[in-house]
Amino acid sequence: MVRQNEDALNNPLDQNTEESAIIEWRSNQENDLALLAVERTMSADSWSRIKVLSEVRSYGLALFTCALALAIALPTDVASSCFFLAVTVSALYGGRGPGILAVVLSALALDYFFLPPQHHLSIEPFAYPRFVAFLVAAILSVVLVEMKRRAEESRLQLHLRYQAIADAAPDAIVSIDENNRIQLVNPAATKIFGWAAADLVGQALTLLLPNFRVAERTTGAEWTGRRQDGTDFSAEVSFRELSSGGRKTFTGFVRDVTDRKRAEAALQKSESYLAQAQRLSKTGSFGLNTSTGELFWSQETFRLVGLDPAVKPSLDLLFERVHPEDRARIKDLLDRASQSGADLDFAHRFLMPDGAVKYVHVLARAISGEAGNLQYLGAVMDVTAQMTAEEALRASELNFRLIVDSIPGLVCTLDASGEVETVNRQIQDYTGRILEHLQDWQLIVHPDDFAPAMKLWARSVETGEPLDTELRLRRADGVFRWFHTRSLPLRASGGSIIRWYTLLSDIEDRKQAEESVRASEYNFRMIVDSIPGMVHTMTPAGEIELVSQRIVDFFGRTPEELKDWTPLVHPEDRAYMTSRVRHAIESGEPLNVETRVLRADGVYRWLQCRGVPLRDSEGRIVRWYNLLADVEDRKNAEEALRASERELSLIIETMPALVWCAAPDGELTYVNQRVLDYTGTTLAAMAKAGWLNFLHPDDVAPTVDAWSHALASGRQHEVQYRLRRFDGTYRWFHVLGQLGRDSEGHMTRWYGLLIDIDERKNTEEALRSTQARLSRASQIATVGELAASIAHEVNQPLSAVVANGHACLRWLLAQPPNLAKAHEAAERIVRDGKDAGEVVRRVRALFKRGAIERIPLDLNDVIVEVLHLLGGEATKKGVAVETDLEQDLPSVVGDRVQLQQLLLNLLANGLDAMDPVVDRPKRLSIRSKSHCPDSVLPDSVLVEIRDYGVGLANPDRVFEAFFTTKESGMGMGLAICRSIIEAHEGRLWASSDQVPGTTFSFTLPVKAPVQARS
Amino acid sequence: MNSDSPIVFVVDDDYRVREALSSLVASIGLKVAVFGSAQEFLDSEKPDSPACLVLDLELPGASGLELQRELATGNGPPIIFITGHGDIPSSVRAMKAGAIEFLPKPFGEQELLQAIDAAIALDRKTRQERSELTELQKHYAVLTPRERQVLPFVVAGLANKQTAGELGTSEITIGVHRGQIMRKMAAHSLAELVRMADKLGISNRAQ
Repeated sequence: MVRQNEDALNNPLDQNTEESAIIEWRSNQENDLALLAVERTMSADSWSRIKVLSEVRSYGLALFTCALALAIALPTDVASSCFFLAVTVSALYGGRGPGILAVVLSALALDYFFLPPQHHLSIEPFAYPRFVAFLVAAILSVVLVEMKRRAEESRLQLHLRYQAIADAAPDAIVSIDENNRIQLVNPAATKIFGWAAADLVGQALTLLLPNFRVAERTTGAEWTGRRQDGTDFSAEVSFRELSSGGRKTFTGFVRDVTDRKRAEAALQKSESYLAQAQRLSKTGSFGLNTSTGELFWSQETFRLVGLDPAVKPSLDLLFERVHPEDRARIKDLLDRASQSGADLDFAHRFLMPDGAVKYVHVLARAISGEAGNLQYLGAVMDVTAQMTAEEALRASELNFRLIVDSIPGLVCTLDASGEVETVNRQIQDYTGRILEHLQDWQLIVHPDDFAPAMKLWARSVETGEPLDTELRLRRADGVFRWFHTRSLPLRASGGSIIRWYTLLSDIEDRKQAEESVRASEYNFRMIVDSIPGMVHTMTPAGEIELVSQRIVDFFGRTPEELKDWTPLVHPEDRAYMTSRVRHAIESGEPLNVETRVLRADGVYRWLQCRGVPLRDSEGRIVRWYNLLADVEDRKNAEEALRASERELSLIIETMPALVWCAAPDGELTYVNQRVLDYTGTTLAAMAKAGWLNFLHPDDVAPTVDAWSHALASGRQHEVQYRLRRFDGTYRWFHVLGQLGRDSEGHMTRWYGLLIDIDERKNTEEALRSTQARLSRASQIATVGELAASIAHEVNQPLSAVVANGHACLRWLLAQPPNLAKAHEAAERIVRDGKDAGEVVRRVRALFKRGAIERIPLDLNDVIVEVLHLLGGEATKKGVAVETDLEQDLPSVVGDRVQLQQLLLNLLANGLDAMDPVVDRPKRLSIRSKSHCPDSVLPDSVLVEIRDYGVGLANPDRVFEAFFTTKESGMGMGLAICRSIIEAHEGRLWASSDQVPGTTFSFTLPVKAPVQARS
Repeated sequence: MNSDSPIVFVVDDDYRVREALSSLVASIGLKVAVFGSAQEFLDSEKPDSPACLVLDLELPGASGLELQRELATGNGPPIIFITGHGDIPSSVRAMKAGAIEFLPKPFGEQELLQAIDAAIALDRKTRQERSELTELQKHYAVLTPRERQVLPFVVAGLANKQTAGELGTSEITIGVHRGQIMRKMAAHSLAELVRMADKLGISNRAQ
């Protein structure tokens, strides 16, 4: 404390600079390190406590010194000096307060003890100048001492602050004297160097910093420090010389920069890496402040932009380099980015001063800041090489595309697994589909070709063999055309397939040409082979070239063997034949010759050989076409015919029967002499007058009917009529007519016989009348039931007639009359009138009172006629009538009317049976067929009438008379049916075996039954 | 011929009857179209003109009565039945189902032509009414829901005040609605509007 005060007195009061503080601190430090250590550990609280204690002590001191001074002064009488000393000491060690207290106590003691009146506090001490001088001197002393104390205290405060700084400093602080001896170190120094502070003081500085020489002023020098353990480290050393009191001292900082050095080295390394990487990748980096436009460029960026790194980069400088075409865009981009802070990612071009163009790709991201004031950090990449390569690639691709697209075929590539990769335009044009829709070949390949083509393709994909096939592809308009497909694999160096190249070429036209050639060849072959004659060709020299299959079959020789044909000709014809052939070949005239040749079975057959030459444009014979026809049968037939004709005419003319012949159209062509004799006329007269003229007038109509029916159907004609004899009497004739047919089935002529049955007829008449009456009665009953239906049949044409009649009149009355329409109407009247007449005739036939006849009948005709009458009824009842009539059914002999009645009855029954049916279609089927039950029973015709009605409870009883299931009915119908059938020697039965419905069946013998019973 | 000239359809399975009727109808100057079956008729394009149908009762497939039933659901032409059987139950059914006439074959010219005239006149009238109704429905369609709500009250003869009371709105509003209704429906008088509402089948909900 004392030293400090002394030092403070040595220094000027305005020492509040850093330098003086350090010096002061140093001087204190060097003298009282221990005290410093104590003070350093004191907290602020303990410091203030000490202060309070010293206050008490100070005032105590003042009391004590004054008392001491009084004690000394009383015996010695040097009161003033003693008290002055006491005041000074109190002020000096106690401060202002104790000083003042000492002054007051001193003044009171002087006044009381030493000034007269003694031992009395005088009222006017100021009368004594000595006392006044003492007071003034004492007060002055207190003030001066107080000033000194204040200065002292503030210096102490400053000192303590620096002390704290030095203690807290992370760097070592070392103070040395002019001999480089260490005087002082801070705690950091002990930590850095590893020495204790006490060990260092007095040591040379070189212990810590080997070879270091202190200069007057050293700032930031790099040096190597050495620790106590002998290890070295990088240090940054700063020393400053201080001159104080004639002594030269140095205070220095030693900073351990090992970590910084290492970081710097690492940074430097990474920076060099970065620069290297940037140079290699041609990628520069940059920073940009959008508000200031401040730019930072890396070395590489400078190189990219083509500017000297020394130049300060700016946006203007940059834009000078940017390709003029990109400039506006980039500016706009940057403006927007500076507002939005969005990432930048764009490409542009630099136009270098030498005219070269550089493509760069810029990427940047805002790393800080707000809109309008953003910090962008980015990279700029030189992608010129890439762009150039891409452009070249694009150009080559375009070129390839052009080539592929201009190939006049469909080209596509497929990957190794067979998926379509690319197709050329032709494919898209052809199929009308885009690539994405071409993956599914099934859509465009013809369904017939798809499976086989896929199989082939799958095999190719598997084995790597080229695909070569033909298939049909669907064009955009849906038409299929043939394509030849060829796929070749592209292989990698390892041999694995990378891709398939497929070319599809349109071969539709070729296919069609092939097809038509094949077709025409086939046609030709077909024609040749299907000509019933035999065809062969011959060279102009007469050599046989080509023979049809029929010739080969006919002769049983191969075409080779047939080249020499002469041995095949009958020996008698051989010379003639060869001469004729030779003549034809020499003259070129068509060949026509008949000859006998040896057939494969060894038989000689007549052959007609006809040949014509084919000539070229100059008239030369190119080839002969010969047609051979087997005319053996014809020759034989001609011969046979001639013979039989001779014989037949002899028979016909001489036989005792009336014979007639007619053309297929019904025209009478021949009658034998006996006919002419009977009628007393000539064939010419008969043909002219018409043979119907010779018939009894009552018989004309049925005869015409039967005849026209026979003509229409071609079936046997059988009728009975009365023919007028030359003497005017009529006799009954049974007429039979049969249509003759040639071997091919063509109608040739009607042949007929007239058999005089007049006698027989007369006797039969009476016998039949009884049966006829019964039959007629039942007919009327049945027909009556169907009256409504029949009326409908008549009404239809009749209403048409009426309407037509009215129409006709109206057309005629029209102004002007429409004659054409009227005519048409009139024609329809006639036609429909005839229709009505026909119905009436049929009905009348049913009612006809006539003799029971036994004539050959086609049951099918009877069925058809009855169905005609029942058609309206069936329609009305909503019944579908199905017929299954066997063609060429053998004739039965019977009474047409009775059989009609039988069928009418059965069919009407069937229709009625289905009246209650509502839940299924109403069907009535009628079937006729030949029936050959066994050898005992005669051949017969079977007719089945099946209804799908309610069925019968007891099928056996229905034929009993008066048995009926109908509400209205006598129960006679089926009984009559049975009697009719029995009269015809047939059988009638019913069955309800099938579900639903009933079948009525009857058979009639084919053979004519024995003469009807009487 | 303009589209309004009447047409006679003839459906009969008998070609003779078809031809005769075709000629007869044509002779009085009418258009005629003939069909052999009900299905043929249904499948055919029919002109938009007054028409009548001369229909045979007995037809293969769908019968005349079935066709009549089918047509009754649409706007089929009036039907004149012709029949060769002419049984009473069928004729009763046909007439009940709205046939104009039932003629047993053979029928006289006058009967048929009169029936055709009557049928065409009826069809013309029906078509006229139908087109008027369509027109009315078109008008009605442009009414707002509120106007449709007001309309029954107006045609029921309620005064605006009453209507307003019923609908809980002001008399003036109803007056405006009423004016709009008259204008949109193109009615010149209340009486006309009432007739229109009647044709549209709008009941007097206000009552």
